[in-house]
Amino acid sequence: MKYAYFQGCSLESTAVEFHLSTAEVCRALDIELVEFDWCCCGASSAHMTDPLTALALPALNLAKAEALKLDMVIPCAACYNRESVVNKELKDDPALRAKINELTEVPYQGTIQTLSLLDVLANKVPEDAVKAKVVKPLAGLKVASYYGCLLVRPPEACNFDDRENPTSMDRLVERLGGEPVPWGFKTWCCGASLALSRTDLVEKRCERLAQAARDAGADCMAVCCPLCHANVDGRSGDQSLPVLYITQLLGLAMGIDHKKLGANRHITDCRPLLRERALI
Amino acid sequence: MDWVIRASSEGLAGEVRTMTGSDIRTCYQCGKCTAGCPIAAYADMGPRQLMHMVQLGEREQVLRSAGIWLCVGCDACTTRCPRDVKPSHVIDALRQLARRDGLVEEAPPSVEAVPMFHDALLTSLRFGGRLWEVFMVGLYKMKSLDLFSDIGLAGKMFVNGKLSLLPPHRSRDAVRVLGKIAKLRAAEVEARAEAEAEAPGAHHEPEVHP
Repeated sequence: MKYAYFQGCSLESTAVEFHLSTAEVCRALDIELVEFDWCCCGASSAHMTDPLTALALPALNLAKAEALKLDMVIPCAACYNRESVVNKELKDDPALRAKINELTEVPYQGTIQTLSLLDVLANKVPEDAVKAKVVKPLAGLKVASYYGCLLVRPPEACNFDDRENPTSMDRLVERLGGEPVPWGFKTWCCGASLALSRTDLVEKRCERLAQAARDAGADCMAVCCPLCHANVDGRSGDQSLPVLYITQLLGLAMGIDHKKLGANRHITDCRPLLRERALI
Repeated sequence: MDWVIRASSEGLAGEVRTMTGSDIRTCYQCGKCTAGCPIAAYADMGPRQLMHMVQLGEREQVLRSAGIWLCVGCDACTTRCPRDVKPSHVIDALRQLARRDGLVEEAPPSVEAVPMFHDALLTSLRFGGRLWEVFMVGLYKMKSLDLFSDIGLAGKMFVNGKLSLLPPHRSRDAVRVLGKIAKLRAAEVEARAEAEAEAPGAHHEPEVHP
């Protein structure tokens, strides 16, 4: 399996753990990640401010992956969302595509797919291939899988899982020997980009989210988004519980050193829990 | 006799339709959007109310509301809407219109920092094409004068190796394209100012392109 790897801005900095664990897990599963000269997807700020910017930035990335003749794999939920929404818009509307190509001068012909890393790990890598690599089963670790708002919405563009009750991470957790807990907050928005401008609201949302995970009996939360991680990890107040990227859980179950997965860098320390479960 | 509800096809609703393809007349105020909205409880107007205000043509109130800035773009509303109103797209259009009409500075105090954050992020992109987080946060703190909150969190992130002080790789194509867009928009602002000078208070024309 070989993909153009859209690392995304956060994975170079505040979500470095996501990049580290993605690289480790993909290496272990023989998924080749080809780097390319990507730029920011524009995140929320672009589409909230200027529609041309919102289209042009993702279009540049799509064109560059297309030049490699590879589909794009994307860890970050927001980047996945933006690239996929724009990919669909440009594929469905040739006139719009021509206009954006004229603007960017790096033309995109609309031939590649954008995949969430979670889609690849849960649905493209065979179940047995994952299970074969498990040397430290998660042994009853109760995990609340938190998908957040952008991985499975809008369903026309982000359609690898159910829009209200996604199960990709839950199924992966099971394959790793963990116990996914059923809970009702899977796609509940954490407050996203209001983290700095209205921190009070993000704190309210994250405390409620963490509380819900605890009420469901979870030992920890699994996420697939840098902003979900940063918000729930750093802003859940006294409800705080360990939050791990799904790739970190995969890596730990595969016996990879927790430091190589960045599990020593979280704001809410997950190491006591991991030690207690003999995962470190 | 044919009845025409002008407010819903001209004015603000017409602009919204041109910008998003959404026909605001189809909204029958079921409230599913507000029910699933993460910020409606904290806003002056949630999505349902905002859609109704657009139906009624209440341009000034809507563009000066806190609700349009608190929307986080989670798309719960658009995903669940039974009428294909696409409230999140409509709200994006309202934010763009507020900017275009110079109303960002008049946003309610409770949300004035929100457009500042977006500006800081986009400014960071103008320089390097990728987000340089510490630079962006620095810009944002200077604009918002919210200098000291998060110092503890930032310190912890730095110590944990989660804050890169160095700028990321520069994406030249992105910088070039963003520069091009900035020039385009500046030309539009000038053209609009000239049109306004010649015919003050004329009917608001939406941008034809996205």
